[in-house]
Amino acid sequence: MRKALITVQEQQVSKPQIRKLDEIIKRNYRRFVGEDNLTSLWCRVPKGQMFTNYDDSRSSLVTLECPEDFKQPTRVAMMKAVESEWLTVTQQHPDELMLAIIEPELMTTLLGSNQHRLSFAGRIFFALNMLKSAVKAKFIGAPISFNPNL
Amino acid sequence: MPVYTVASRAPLNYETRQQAAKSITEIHCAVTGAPPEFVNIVFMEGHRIKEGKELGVIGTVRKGGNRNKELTDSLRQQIHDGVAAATGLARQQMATKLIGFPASWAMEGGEILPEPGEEGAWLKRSEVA
Repeated sequence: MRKALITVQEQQVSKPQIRKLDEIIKRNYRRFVGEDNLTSLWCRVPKGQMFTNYDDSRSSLVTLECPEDFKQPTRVAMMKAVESEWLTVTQQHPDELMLAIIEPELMTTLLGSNQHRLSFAGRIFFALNMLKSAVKAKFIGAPISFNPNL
Repeated sequence: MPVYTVASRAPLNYETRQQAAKSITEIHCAVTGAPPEFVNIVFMEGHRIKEGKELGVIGTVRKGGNRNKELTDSLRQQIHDGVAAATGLARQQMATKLIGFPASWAMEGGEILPEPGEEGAWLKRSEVA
């Protein structure tokens, strides 16, 4: 199962918009990558907790996992397709969107790095928080979204 | 890109977060030559950091280009010291790690990110566009 980690500003991107954006990402994933399952994790950052270029951020960060040796022209085409539809939904400026499509080893490193900086208890609390978010998402039929604070 | 995540056990107030973000941005740009437009910092609280530390920083930064091991080591060390100073924590109460990321795998402002050291031409092209 492949993963997507998406960071948005809580006050900037609404939950209905997240549903639309999640559909856009998954549709383009099927178009450019294939029928692999993509689990998306939406990190909704509270106001005042993210900064870009010294100021309170208005940026979204989208990191998607692709297969190994993913062709660069396909990567670029997919990022452009997602970007175009994303900006239509959010009305963000292109400078406010960072997209990355990365291979499994780097995605594992990225996700694992957060686990590695936590204590044993910290990893349990983090896992419980994610589990709670996943159960809630399943219950209401929405993408998995979570607050980065525990 | 870069994206720095700062996880702390206790909450940091807004002024402290702002100061730490300023410090990370200044250091990242001074050491790498990257423009501040690229620098993102996300703060998270309530995280129990290993070895009883108070705070952990992870930076995802572009690799390759003009970035050799010495530059990356220096960046990691200076970010560590800068965040310690901004937050008032002792250096040993923190952990800092950097992860390298191929520039060509990411897009910002509608353009594939430049290789480290080639930002000037990239920014000029973006401005023209």
